[in-house]
This record gives sequence, structure tokens and C-alpha cells, in this order.
Amino acid sequence: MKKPARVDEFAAFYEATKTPVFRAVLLARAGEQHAAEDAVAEAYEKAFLRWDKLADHPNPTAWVIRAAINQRISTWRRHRRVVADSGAISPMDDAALDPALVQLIRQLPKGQREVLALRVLLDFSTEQTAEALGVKQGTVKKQLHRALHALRLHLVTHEEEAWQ
Amino acid sequence: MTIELAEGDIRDAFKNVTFETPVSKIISGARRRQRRQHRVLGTIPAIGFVAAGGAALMTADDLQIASVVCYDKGDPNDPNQGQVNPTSTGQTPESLCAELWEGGYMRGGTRGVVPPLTACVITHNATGMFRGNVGVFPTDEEDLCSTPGLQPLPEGYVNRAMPFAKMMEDAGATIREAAVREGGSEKGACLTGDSAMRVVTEVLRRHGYGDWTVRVAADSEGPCRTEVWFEPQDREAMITSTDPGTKFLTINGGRTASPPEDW
Repeated sequence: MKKPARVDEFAAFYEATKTPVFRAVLLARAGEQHAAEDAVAEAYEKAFLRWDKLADHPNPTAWVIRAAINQRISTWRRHRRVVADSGAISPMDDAALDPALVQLIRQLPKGQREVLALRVLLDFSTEQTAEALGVKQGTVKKQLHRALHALRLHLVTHEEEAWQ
Repeated sequence: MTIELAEGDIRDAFKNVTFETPVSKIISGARRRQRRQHRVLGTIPAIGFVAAGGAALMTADDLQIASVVCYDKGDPNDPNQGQVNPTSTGQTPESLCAELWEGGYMRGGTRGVVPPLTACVITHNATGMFRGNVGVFPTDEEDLCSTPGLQPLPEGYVNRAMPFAKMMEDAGATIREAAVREGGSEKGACLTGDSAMRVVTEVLRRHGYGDWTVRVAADSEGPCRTEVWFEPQDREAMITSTDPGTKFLTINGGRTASPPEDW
């Protein structure tokens, strides 16, 4: 059982980071809201259980984001979700996200989405992003450039189509 | 359009997305996760024990002796495992897990078929939970316990676990009796926090654990406090309520165990 001070400390960390982390995981997981919710909740649960050590981690947010992005959603949660989603699966149906943007994000490769999530939505540096994702800094730069270039092309095309 | 504009667009697109799960739900979820992984249950559904924490040193004296983790693969990182409590009769860890395999409760297992089992001490913290626990794996691979993250079972483990098992068995019986008495029937078995504290304190004292601290968990829900976690590292017993929907499995002699998660 955690000591009360440690629980308060974790609660403060959670409140300060939960929304940016969720946004980043949502982007990394191609806008699949339920999967992102479960992944974020599970990652924070694990963070709480090891908070005694994680509190001294140089970047606990990176630890949580990595756990959320990498983790396999547990069977139990998948079962629960199957029940909840017994109708048509409609990712992002509740999120306040533009469906057109979701479509664009889905066209990006996983690696590019993850880099975009950490660099843009979490404001991680190239170094922090590389460390969190376990890739080289050069890879982060390339992936970011390609992701933004692809999005820009899509956005331009989208705007041109809208004019026609 | 510049790169900066694209980044701004992305940030703007997500600005109305929020994560509303309260921290209390995360903490209770974490504790449920911990309990699922360490649950050692008493003999009726409303009563159970959970041993949490892990020993820092891998000697017989310091192992996590309150439960044995039965894996369905030869991999301590595998999340699918059951737990059983050791017995005061001195069963080996392999024989404890054999009961789950025998009953057909392990994933990939066939009722009545017990694979070769090997017990090792888990020495790494990959799962965040089981460092110091004894893990039992379905393999006869001789070198398994020499692989990184594992070590052979030290001599004396079973003898060391027996008195603790005896205390847990006594606690199970005593709590059950008190809960039935206080609740008025088997079905209505229930204990208040104060009663549970008295019962657990007395059982611990009787078995030579009189210096342990007994507490009632603040996050307990419902009126009944019929579950106890034993935290050997902190020498603490934490009384709480049993989570709704908890799954129970009865094995030999009416003992219960926690099966793999999606059993």
C-alpha cells in the first residue's frame, strides 16, 4: 500500500499529464479511441504500482507513453470492450476530433504517427522522443519530416478538392 | 503551408480531446490489477487473502512465500498466470500448480493432463509484481532456472512457507466463521472493518506475527471487509472488501485459488 504522500504525488502527476498523454496515444493509435483509453488507463495503473521507483525517473511521462503505446491490451479488457462494442465499431465516435483528420492520420505509418504524437502533442525533444520510442534521433527527424510532409500534401489535396 | 502551420493544425485538432478518468479510478484499477495477480483466497467466495510485495533478496528466508505463481508458458513476462497459496502440509510449488493444470484451468491445458513442471524463483521485475515469487513453468527444460531473470529454488523454501501457510489457513477459517456468525448465514457472511481487524490481529498474534500492523483499506467499497492482503515486506495486513465480479476457483480440499485472468 502506497504511503499517502506518494499517492498525492502520483495524483498530481496524473492530473498534469493525463490529457496530453491521451491525445498522443490517440494519435499514435490512429484515432482508435477505446483502444487509446484502455492503453492510457493501463499504463497509468502500472505507473501507480511502481510509483516508488518511477517518481525518481527523469521523465515519467515518457515511461507512461511508452507503456501505453507498446502494451498489448489485455485479454480481459478486450473482452470487456467486445461487450461494450457489440454494435458497429466506430472509432472516434465520441472524441472531439475531425473525422477528416482521423482519416489522414490513419494513412500515416505507425512510426510516423508515434513520432508526431510525441514531438507535436507532447512537445518532447528529438532526444526524448528517440529515447521513449527506442529509435535513433535521426529516425525521429526523418519520421517527423515525412509525417508532416504527408499531412501537408493531404491537406493541400483536400483543400483543392473542396474548391472543385 | 509551412511545417509550423501543420504542427499547429494538429495541436488545434486535438485541443478538445480530454481524458476524464478520475485518478481514484486509476488507483482502484491498479489495486485490482495487483490483487488479481496476488490473490490467494479463503474457502468461501466472500473471503480471501492477497499477498503483495516481493522480497529484495533471493534467499529462502526472503522469498515471497504467500503465493505461488503458475504460468501457462515458460515465460515469466507472460501475463496469463494463476496463483495458489502454499499449504501447511508442505506441498511443493510444482504440486500446487499441478492442481490447476489437473483441473483444466490453465490456458492451453487439458483437464486431467499435467505437463512437466519446473519451479524457479523470479529475480527480475519485468512484470512489476513478481520479483521474489516462486514461478512454476510448464517445461522440463533443465536450464530454465539458469536463464536471466530466474534462479533455482533455494533449499528450505517449502519449510519456510509452511508456517505462513498455516497462518493463512487459520485466518481463512477464522474469518469465515466470524463472517458467518456476524452475517447470520453462509450466504450473508459479512464482517465490519472493526470485527475484521480484531480477527486478523488475533490470528497474526497466535502465529507469531504479533508485530504486524493491521489496517482497513480506505478504498474499500460495500459494507463487508472480508478480504485481507498480507504484505510481508511491510509486515502489514490490509483489510479490504472483495471486488465485485471476482472469480473463484475451488481446488483440492475446498481450497480456492485465483485462475488465469480470463478464466
